[in-house]
Amino acid sequence: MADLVTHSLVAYLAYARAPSTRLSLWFVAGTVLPDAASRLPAQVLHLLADVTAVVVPDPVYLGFDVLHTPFPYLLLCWALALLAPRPSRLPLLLCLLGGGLLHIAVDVLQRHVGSAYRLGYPFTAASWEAGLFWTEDSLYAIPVLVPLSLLAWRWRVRTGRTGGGRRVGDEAVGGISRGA
Amino acid sequence: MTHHRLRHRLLDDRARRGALPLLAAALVGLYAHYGISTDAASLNFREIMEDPDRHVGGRVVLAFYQVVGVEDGRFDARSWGRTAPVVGSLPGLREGSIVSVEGVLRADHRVDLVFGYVHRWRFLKKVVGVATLAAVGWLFARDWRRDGGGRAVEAARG
Repeated sequence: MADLVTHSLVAYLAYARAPSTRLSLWFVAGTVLPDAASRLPAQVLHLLADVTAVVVPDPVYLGFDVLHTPFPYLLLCWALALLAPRPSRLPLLLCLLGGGLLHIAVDVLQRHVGSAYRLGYPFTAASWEAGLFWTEDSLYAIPVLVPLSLLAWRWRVRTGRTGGGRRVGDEAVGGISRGA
Repeated sequence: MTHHRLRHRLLDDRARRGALPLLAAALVGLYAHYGISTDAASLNFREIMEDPDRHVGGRVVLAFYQVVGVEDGRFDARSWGRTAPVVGSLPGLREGSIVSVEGVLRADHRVDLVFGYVHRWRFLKKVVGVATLAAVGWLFARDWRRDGGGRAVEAARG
């Protein structure tokens, strides 16, 4: 995986035209989610297994990586969107999905020793990656991405896109109240 | 299909009741299948060393192993209690480096290095990763609370 700062900054730049800070934030959260859902639980489990000296079979760790593949990730986004208030669900789903797919697209540019990403899972076992740079090399992009993101942020301030925009949440509470 | 119809078909409250358990079950099933199938597809070093003679000449992949001993033209790589003696060297390799290596198992059960990489920024990457997760998580939670999202979900459940 590329580092999460690079992922977040790429997402911020990719969706700099977001009409509100909220949508921009959801998109950035979407770009963090594939790693947060797949790597974090496995690493915490590794740590717990190490501390408690419990032997955990490899498939238990490897299984979490499924959330780093597009189709299962779509299911995860759909489930998360259903937990949100009704009017927020579609924008939340689209932002999480768009951010996540951007994350996977950036990761696919990398090169790994061993197996590549299984992009078509569960429909095909084939794996592929472009192999343009090593996993840590994304850190070299940060000095370029930070000033670009600051420029994008200044542009958003000047064009009035840093507010809440259309308050999806306000409608959401009302929507749920009416429905409940 | 328009956004409006998509919202009503896939994201309304009836969909929430019906789809959430199905989505959860599908994700658990995919998790289990992916873990088992990935493990079966990748021959790891532990399995190779259970019967190394059978794998002589075979491809060995050591991903994210720590270098514990460096000598001229060889080093040991360790991960989760498994130690792999590797014949060869990499630029920038030193004690404590994290490496990913591809090689071929020799008859003396050492790994002939074919190709490898020293991970240089692992710690920094972890630090910035945790910091980013914390920042995005905090911003998301703040937005969610401001939104009344938690209350809305509880109302919908209750």
